[in-house]
Amino acid sequence: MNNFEPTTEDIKKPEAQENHEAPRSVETPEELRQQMTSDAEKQIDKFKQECAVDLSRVEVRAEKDGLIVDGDDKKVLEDLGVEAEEAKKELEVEIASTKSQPEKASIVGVTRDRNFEGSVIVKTEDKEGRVTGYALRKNSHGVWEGNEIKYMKDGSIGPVYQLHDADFSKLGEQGILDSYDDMPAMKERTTENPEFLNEKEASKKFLAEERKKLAQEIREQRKAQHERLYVLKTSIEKANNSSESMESALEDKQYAQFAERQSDEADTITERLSSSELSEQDAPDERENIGQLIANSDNIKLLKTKLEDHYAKADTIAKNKFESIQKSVGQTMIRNNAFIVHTFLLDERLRHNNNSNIAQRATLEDDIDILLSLEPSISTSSVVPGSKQGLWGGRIGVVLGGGDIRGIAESDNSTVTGGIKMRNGTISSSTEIDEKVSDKGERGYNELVVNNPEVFGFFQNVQIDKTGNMIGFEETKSEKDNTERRDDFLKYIDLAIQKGMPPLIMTPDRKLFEFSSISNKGIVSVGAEITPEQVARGKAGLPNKKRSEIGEQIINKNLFTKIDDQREAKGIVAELSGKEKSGVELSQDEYLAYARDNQGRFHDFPKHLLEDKNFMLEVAQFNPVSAYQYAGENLKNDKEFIKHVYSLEKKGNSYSIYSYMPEELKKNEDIALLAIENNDFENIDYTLADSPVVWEKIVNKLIEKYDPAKGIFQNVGEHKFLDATLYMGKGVIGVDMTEKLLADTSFVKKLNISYPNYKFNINEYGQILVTKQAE
Amino acid sequence: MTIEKYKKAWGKFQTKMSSLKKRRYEILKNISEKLDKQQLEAIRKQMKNHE
Repeated sequence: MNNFEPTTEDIKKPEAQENHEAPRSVETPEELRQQMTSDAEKQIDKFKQECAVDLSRVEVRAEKDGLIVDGDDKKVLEDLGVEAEEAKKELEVEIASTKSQPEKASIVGVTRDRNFEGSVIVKTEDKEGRVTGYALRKNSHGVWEGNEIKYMKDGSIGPVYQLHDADFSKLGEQGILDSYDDMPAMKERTTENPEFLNEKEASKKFLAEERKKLAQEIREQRKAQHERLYVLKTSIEKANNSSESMESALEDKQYAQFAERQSDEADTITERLSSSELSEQDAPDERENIGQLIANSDNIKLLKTKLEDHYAKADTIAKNKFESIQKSVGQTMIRNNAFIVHTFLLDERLRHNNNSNIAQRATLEDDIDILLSLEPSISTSSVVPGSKQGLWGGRIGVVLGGGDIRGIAESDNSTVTGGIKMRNGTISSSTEIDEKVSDKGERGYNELVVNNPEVFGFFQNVQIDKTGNMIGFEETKSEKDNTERRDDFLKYIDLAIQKGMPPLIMTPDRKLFEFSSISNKGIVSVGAEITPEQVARGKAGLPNKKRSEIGEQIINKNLFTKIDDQREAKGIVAELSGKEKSGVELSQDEYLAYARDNQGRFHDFPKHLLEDKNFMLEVAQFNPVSAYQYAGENLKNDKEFIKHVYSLEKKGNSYSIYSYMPEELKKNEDIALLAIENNDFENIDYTLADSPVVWEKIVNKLIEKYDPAKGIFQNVGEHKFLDATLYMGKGVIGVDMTEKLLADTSFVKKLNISYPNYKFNINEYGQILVTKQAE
Repeated sequence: MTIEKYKKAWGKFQTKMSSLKKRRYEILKNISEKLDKQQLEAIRKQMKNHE
């Protein structure tokens, strides 16, 4: 008997709800990765085993019932195991690749610390808030060196460990080494030596393109006229050979002279053209051809002039170049063994006077940032080490390593800025500069204007005590005071280090040393002495990328007193970033930000903005009176604008919007009433004195003003007088209207009504006598 | 970040495994159906021979 029982129902369906959750009970990514690898392996083994069991089961059944399992189906089932293996491998690759990229460190600061001199400290913070610093530096071979610093909770330095080679690869993967370059550091330079070139060398070096073009032009001319010259030459030869054509000895002599001149000129020109433009083979031909060309062609005469101009130009360039290198800060320091320094005043009220193009609110740090990023034209002084020579200003400054000297004056030259990259003052030759800079005698400060200054380092002046110690501050009996003075000294050293400037010490005899430390007694320890030549040839100036970054921050602070300088700063930063400097313009938002940060200083904004009502209404929020004062003429006549400006103006402000109005507008009764209403009534146009409504309003405002409670009386003996005056305007002139005011009986009457505790009377001298009434 | 990446990779692996299991079910079902058919054919043939 055959029993048929379908077997399809026996096949176990896969679970509808698969668990896709990652393995749990792990703490670190690495543990999770290991757990996943292990779980995946188990799953695959199980799956493959199930496939094998299932296949075996159907084969047993088939065999038992004399059936055949389809070979293709068997193959597909077996291949599932292969696919599962591949899925596992894919998983392993994905999580393995993650393993090779450790998590980026959380960098919380990049700084410098004088305890780790020469290192950049990259501070990181872990998830538990523990701060670890990495003091990183490169040795002379460019190999990483450094320390790991464990910081305590109060920020003090805890244990310090040395870093090893293996640590640096991990720090690199964590992105910590990348931060090393974020810290400013002076750049390596090649000091250019002056080299006097002759006209031919100068032509090759400075006018190579033009030189090539000229050579090409000569070749083309030669080619174009070759045929004509051949004919000419033949006819001259014929003439020479013919005794009939030489009619006289005089003509013969003239011809000889002419030929000689041709030859000389050809020599002169062809010798100037080097073999770089002409092959050896071509040169003799060239010489002959050019000689002929000179004699026969106007074009060649023109070429000759061009060549002479070319060499004259090359000569001028060479001389200028030579002089500009001679006038460089570096070469001037080397030749004269002198430092060129720029000092800072510590008193912020004095640091930026009217000669400065920077706002008084700029801090010392801002000043340093401007100097390092924009490299503006600055005033400096030179000092010779070992001499007693004065310096302008305070106890701190920078030593320049590079820059271009514009000129020098023996003493203060009262120079002022004409933009960021421009400062006026004497223009001097290198000889004149040398004469003054080389002066070793005792003197006050001189003034040199330096363009494009590159900073070598930051110095702080010290004194020398009786025992010969360098003293950073005078020690007091108070330990607390000494600590404060030491901190004050170190404050500037730390600022220099943060800005990437090596900290230096300058002695009273103008010698320069590396700074090492300062004790609580004020004694300064120094390292090696630095010579002017070392400064001239050492690292100076920040790299462009860093200058650009700092420059952006400076622009955002709107520190320049002129909008043109703000625009120039933006142009300089654009150029540092490799962009085109010309055409850089400030956006409307940037103008607004500038107006916000420099209240009232927008007189030099572009005309189209000063006429832009919406823009000026926004600007008016920062300073309504200035907004009206500098508004375009059309806007000044806009009543809505005037009303808005008055609505923003603080009551009682001593500045007058009315005084900035166009004369015709001042005569408008409504405008005058608006001004009076807003307490802006001191100079109302005198023609409106005849307007009863205007006059009444002025009188009422005066009544308010003369409130006895404000104590505005003059005491004369036992009597009190009210000194009531009224001036109205006639253009820029004031017209005294006091007589009219006092003649107006309503004035005194209203005073008596408004202030019943006082009695106001006009005496026989026309004075207002004030008597306090009994309470 | 790393853990998230691991979880994503794990999810992808599990989806693949689910798909393989479904296919295995389909293949086995197909094999069984074919065997059932063969068996039915064999029974029909036997019955026909008995007639």
